[in-house]
Amino acid sequence: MSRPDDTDRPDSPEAMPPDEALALEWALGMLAGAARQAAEDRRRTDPAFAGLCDRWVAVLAPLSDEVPPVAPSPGLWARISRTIEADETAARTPAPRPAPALRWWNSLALWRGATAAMAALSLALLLARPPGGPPPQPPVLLAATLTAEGGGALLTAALDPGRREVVLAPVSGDAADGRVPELWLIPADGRPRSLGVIDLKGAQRIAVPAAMAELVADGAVLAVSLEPQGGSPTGAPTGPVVATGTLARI
Amino acid sequence: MRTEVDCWLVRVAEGDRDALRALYDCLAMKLLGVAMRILGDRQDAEDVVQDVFVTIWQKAGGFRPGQASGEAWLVAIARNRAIDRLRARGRRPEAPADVLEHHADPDAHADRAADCASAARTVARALAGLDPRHASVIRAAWIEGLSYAELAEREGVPVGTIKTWVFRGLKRMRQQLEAADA
Repeated sequence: MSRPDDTDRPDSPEAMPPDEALALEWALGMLAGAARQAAEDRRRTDPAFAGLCDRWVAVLAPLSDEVPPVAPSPGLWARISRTIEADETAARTPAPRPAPALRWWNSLALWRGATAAMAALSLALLLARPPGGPPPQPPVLLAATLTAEGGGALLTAALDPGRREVVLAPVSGDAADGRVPELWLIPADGRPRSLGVIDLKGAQRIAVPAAMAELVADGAVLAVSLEPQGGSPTGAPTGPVVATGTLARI
Repeated sequence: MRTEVDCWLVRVAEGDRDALRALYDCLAMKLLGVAMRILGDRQDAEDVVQDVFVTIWQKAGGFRPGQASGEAWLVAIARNRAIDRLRARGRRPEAPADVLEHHADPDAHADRAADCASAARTVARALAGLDPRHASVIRAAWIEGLSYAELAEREGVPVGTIKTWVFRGLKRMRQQLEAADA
């Protein structure tokens, strides 16, 4: 079988400069796994390579004009809008969302049972409250140990009230399924307030918003839930709770 | 040439929600069509479209006004996400063509088609200038998200031959399109 154009070597893939070929395969979605990631990384850091990718995208994208458009479900924009708002809310301050939060808190006991087999998490939090009145007083120290059933220590934390930061020091473990742990404060009113997504891989500082400082008190509960990448999309916990504990004076 | 979509993308990157909505109204149907053709499943395809709009809101998808138009860039993002999902799922949709016919909105298609008619005609001409086998595998790779291996199986030729067809065809297409632009 001999086709003249198949023996036209200068046009073969090998004849294309390697970056051109890589950009083409990235644009076409032919790369997978590590190769895909490497190309993505290069695209972000190497403007010349990004330009090659753009050039192929410009050639290929008009092919999609022959694909018939499909009207989205009526709720799709609302879903997008909610996701974005939750994102921004979480970024500004972890604002309380009363109704769903209360439902979540009420079901915590159920979740404890359901998550018994999950990786154990133990979280200790040391808290020193700022002096209440003009005369300097020694700070009140509070601590909580957060444990799931079957627990080994995963994380310890201490709060510096002066700088309003929680200092986290992980002990072991990770959220294995692609979800991320998010830390919640549940004060006396029962509404969880997010302290943000936490990392179980290294020490870190989590800022406590000024509005939440007075909620951190004896008897308040700390909890860790597993959330989608980037944290809870709703501002209230959405995933299983893997550890809880109550703050107490030490 | 900076299009309306490009301007909206720039405004989205500055945090303009109205611009995001304008982009959605203009392109959600097209992107959903693209994703659904690859995935064959409305729920998965809508998840992809949601993902695309949330992504561009968060970081505008790395769009830089330049060689590719904003619309082309969004199509590429939607396609990439759909292919990721397809490969993660590990199987192809059963009857994508059927799904499409049920959900396509012909009026909207006509509107969009008018907007895109010029670009589409140019691309159609460029495709028509290729060896039909090259044109066919390029179209199947882009529109249906087929991998080299799937294309090789479909055409009954080795993967290396498919790559040669794709590279050669696209190189020629690019020459023709860029010559037409010049």
